[in-house]
Amino acid sequence: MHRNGKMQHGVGDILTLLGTASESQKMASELPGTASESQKMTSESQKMASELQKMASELPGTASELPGTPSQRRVAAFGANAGIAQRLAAAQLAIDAVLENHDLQIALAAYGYGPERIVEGKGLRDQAQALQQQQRARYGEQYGATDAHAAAQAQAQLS
Amino acid sequence: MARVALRGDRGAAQKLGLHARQQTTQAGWLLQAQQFYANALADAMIPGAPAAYNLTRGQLAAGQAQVVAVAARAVVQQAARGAAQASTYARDAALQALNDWMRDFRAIARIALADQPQRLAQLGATGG
Repeated sequence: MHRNGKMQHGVGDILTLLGTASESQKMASELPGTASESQKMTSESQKMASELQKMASELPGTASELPGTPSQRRVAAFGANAGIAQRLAAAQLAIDAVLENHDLQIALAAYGYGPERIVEGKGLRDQAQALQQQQRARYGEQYGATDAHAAAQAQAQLS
Repeated sequence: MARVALRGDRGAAQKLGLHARQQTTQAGWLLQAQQFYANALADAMIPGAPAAYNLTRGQLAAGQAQVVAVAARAVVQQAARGAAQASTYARDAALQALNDWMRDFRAIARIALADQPQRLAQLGATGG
């Protein structure tokens, strides 16, 4: 997960968060319902896993590690941030599901995951979301400052 | 242009920093440009040579102002770069904390809801 002190977000993390196609297939076969419903669900799970794998394979790391010009980095950074957005969305779905379902709360509380623990997770998720937005804003400011500096230098060297 | 104008005046070239090779680094370029404009404007004799090539004191002052602007932009850019890097570290640390929490949460959910695959799916905790 770490390289040179920086966290790497890879295929494993995303698939761990959301499950793999084979796991989804297994889940689908365990679910009640008609065969066609199970097949439909399996197909959708495979499609989702395929999309996630494709997305994860396109993740070179965080935006700050990407090579190229600022504008090239901005394009490439979208992929990395999309992966992070997926993580945040998966966490929010899971946490909200518990907060909105009394039966889930009871089942998890029996294993030490009472409301306080779930709210703690929600806090971590909200903080990560806020810092993700802040990070994107800071990089936008940096690109703006870089462009302004380059323009000023070009003007000075022309004169 | 000043290098050409002052080719025969070693003293003036030395004062304006024109004797040295032109710097290619950002810091080196700024130092050279600041030295050139500051000394050219301060020395009453030297501006006479650039005037022969249609460089007035006003133009020198404008050039100096542009160099000051570049230096200021460089400071802003450096600060923005530092802030962006710090925001990445903070974001990554927060994501790591969330990942750790989610890992434990999913592990517990798999145990607590082992007989309820639909609810496990709701939590995205179907993986082993």
